[in-house]
Amino acid sequence: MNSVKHGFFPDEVIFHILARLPVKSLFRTKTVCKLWYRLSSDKYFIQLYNEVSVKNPMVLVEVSEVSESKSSLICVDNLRGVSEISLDFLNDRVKIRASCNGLLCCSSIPDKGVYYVCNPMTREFRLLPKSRERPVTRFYPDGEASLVGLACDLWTQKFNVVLAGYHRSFGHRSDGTFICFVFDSELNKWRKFMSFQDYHFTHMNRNQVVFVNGSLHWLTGSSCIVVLDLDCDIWRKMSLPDKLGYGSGNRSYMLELDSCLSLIEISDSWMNIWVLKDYVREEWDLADRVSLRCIRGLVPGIFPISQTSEYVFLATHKQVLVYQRKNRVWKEMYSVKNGCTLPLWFSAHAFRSTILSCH
Amino acid sequence: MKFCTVKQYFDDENNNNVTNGIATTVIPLPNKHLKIKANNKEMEQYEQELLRNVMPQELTKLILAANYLNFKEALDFFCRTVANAIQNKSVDYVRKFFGLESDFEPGEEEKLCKEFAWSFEGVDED
Repeated sequence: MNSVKHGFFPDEVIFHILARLPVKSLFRTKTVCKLWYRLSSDKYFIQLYNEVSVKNPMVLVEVSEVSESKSSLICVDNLRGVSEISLDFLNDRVKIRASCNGLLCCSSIPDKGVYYVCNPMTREFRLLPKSRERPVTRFYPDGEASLVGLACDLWTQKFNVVLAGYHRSFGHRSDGTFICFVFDSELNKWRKFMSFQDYHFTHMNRNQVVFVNGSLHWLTGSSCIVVLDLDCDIWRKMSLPDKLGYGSGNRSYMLELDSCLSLIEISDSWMNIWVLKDYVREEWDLADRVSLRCIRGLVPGIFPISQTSEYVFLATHKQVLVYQRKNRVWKEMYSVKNGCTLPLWFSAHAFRSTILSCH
Repeated sequence: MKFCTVKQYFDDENNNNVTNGIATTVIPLPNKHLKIKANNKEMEQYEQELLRNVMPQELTKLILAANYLNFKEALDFFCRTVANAIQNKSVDYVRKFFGLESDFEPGEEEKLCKEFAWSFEGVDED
């Protein structure tokens, strides 16, 4: 145990206290003294901070209220409530495409093909080099990626951005060629590879991508999981739980649960939480079965966004709710005051507040 | 289980990490904690009491004890209580609370305050 002491508290105690400060407060403490300034760049402290934050689930939602012309970004934090976040530091109008371990991948709205990776809490950002030589125009429509994935490794502090889409020549349908661009943060370069598959993705599938075990996972419209192994650039398939209900009115969403792949299945009165306990053998376990009786009226329009073993965050058209698994209690965390143009679940992302750097 | 380390402590006579006094405060915690979790208001009162009556040295020992006993909930609770108390306070307040002094060169601190100006919004008055 570290018994070095500065002031009243030993360093070890200070580490544990500061690891529980919100990022904004943590940055303020950099001006306390030289030691504390160096603290937030200390590898051990960064890991401790990120470990603590992994247990605190959050949801980031773009809210575009009817009364105001522009949209704002809201962060719903289980511990600290609702706050507004600004991505103004990017100096660009952006859309959030993916979220992973505290970093966001955003695409520029005015400049197609321009991507940023940023940490909205520390305000660090990195403009990614262009992925393709020629700009995207209507003559080369193999443009806006169908799938966008962000894979941030908390231990190595490196990340990958994946842009994947079907190749389609002007005026033709997709020929099944799946083109994938992968950005490596360490090499600061994109690499490209192609494969052949025929998967169908809905908007909801595209929004929910899970990074576990060094791979990115997407749920397809054809009821299987598509996996991109980033170590060897290989796509493969994974199967869903055998006992998954396939009736009409049964829908499934893929989320992370404590570093495991999880599937949340919603029917009209139940929510089943599946966890992939054995990744190699593809064995699923039913972790919880939640009655949806008390939110009966909301069920058709409710979507799970983020979870831990204690909480599940869900979004409806106008609200963000949290379900506490231990006490079996539902709580409304946020609700839009005036009408909004887009449903909240449409642009809601799982999030956690880490001090992961994008450089 | 949480209490296997407690048994170890009682068996280990030359233990400097947890003094007797602290052990009597930390060990009854699980029960009190469970009782408190039920009522948010009581939790706030307990937190206030903790910060007001418990001096830094005691608080340090509580945190170190919880860490040694691997009592994650107590560690999280104590650290979070302190973090919540200081999160919106000014840098001077934090310095006084932790018993620290600024060791920056004259211009350095100002430069840093400018660099992280965005983090100084919404700070409570002292």
